[in-house]
Amino acid sequence: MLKLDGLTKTYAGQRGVRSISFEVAPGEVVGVVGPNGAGKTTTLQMIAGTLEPDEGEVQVLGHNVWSERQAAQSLMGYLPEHAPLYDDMTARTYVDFLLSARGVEHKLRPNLIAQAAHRTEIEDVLDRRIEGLSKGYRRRVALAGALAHDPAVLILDEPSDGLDPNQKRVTRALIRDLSPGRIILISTHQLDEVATLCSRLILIADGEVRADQSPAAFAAQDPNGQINDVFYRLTLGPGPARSKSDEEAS
Amino acid sequence: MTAFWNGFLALYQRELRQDVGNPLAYVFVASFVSASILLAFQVGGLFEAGRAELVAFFQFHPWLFVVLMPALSMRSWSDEAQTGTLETLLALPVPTSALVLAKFMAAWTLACLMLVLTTTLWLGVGLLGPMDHGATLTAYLGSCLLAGAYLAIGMAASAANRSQVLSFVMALGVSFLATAAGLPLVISTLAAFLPLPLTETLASFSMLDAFSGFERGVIEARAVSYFLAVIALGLCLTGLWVDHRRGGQG
Repeated sequence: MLKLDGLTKTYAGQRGVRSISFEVAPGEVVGVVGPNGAGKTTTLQMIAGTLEPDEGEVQVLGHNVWSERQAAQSLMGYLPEHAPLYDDMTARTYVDFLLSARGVEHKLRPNLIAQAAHRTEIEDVLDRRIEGLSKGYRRRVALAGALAHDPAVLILDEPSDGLDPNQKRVTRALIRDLSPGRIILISTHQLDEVATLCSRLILIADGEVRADQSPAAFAAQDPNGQINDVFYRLTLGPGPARSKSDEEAS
Repeated sequence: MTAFWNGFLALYQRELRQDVGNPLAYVFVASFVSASILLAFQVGGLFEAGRAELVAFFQFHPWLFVVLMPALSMRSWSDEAQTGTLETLLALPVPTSALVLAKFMAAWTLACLMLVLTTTLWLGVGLLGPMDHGATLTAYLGSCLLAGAYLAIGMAASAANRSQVLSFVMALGVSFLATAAGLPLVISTLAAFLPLPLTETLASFSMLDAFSGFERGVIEARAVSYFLAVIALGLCLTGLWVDHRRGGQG
């Protein structure tokens, strides 16, 4: 179980997120959505142990992320926002470096790298320097690094950002494949991705959880079942005025 | 192996590989080797002294290191923060101390390798006449410790800033002050404004003062302790600043 309890973070006097609490069970794929600056990345960083909360705590499969940081982080795979990578490395040496730092035995690494490369479809660029890779490949290399050690918890910040429609399809299929028995948390702007991929949606706006339900239940709040309209209403205002032709079209 | 050593070895190897593949590292090494030898002959009067000794060579090391060590260390942490890879490192189940030590040791290895390349001068001068090889070895040991001390200052400056230029300027400033405090001109100027005991205390904290014994071939416990204390202080500050980033600052 991944458990967030009252997570609060303040930046330079301004509240980043306040009192974020939810639980995620193994097998669940949870989409964290919200407008830019809502606190999605801050929340994910606090779960991954790269940002310390001012208040509250995160438990990852029984380990507190701050008092037992290393034990908790060894169970997690994390894809940070913008997928930062070492440009001077090849995709293979990058994933090998992460596995080695995680204490994975030398003889096991080639197999794990090959598996991760196969899953993320980066086999053809495995020995190319990262600086020469396209945005889509870079993101998939970062994703390979996050999942190569077969973590029980995957935290993915914008996993399909910068991918073309085919690559998005592959990534979504991969996440679906990985989901049984695993806790997967995805931050995304793409509501269609949440609707097709996630079993649950958590909407964060102004640093607070505004909704925590299944994508279907979320969409059902709109008379026409438009997930984008519900998102708009909960984050900005009462919702756009819909013309009769819009309603007929939908 | 423990999480500390897994993380340490992985990052140490990565940093060394990065230096091996980086043309700037070769420029840096070539600059030091050529500048130190040129200064020894042209300014230090190595031949004119008429003795088979390398005092004229070692006396310029503090001033060369004041510029070169901040240049070597400036990108170590600020580049990680700027490109976002620091988040990848902080998400690993590795103690911050292992990350700090790995980066420092990798840079120190390069600095020591740079010194090893100047031993051709030692061999050459040794052929010209009877030479105190013990004293020369001691001076090399002192030079290694001196380089380590300047690197630790540079690492701390790099961890405190996202900008490499600012890191360099900050490290250069601190290193220059720590060196110049031992110059007779600075001591006499300070003595005009400050009480003599305070001036002497400040001068005793100078890198020049600590290195002077090594130059003469004498290993002083006080000087060794001084360099190790500067290294420890620099690395502790680096660790504090890296952990400070986990708190969402900087």
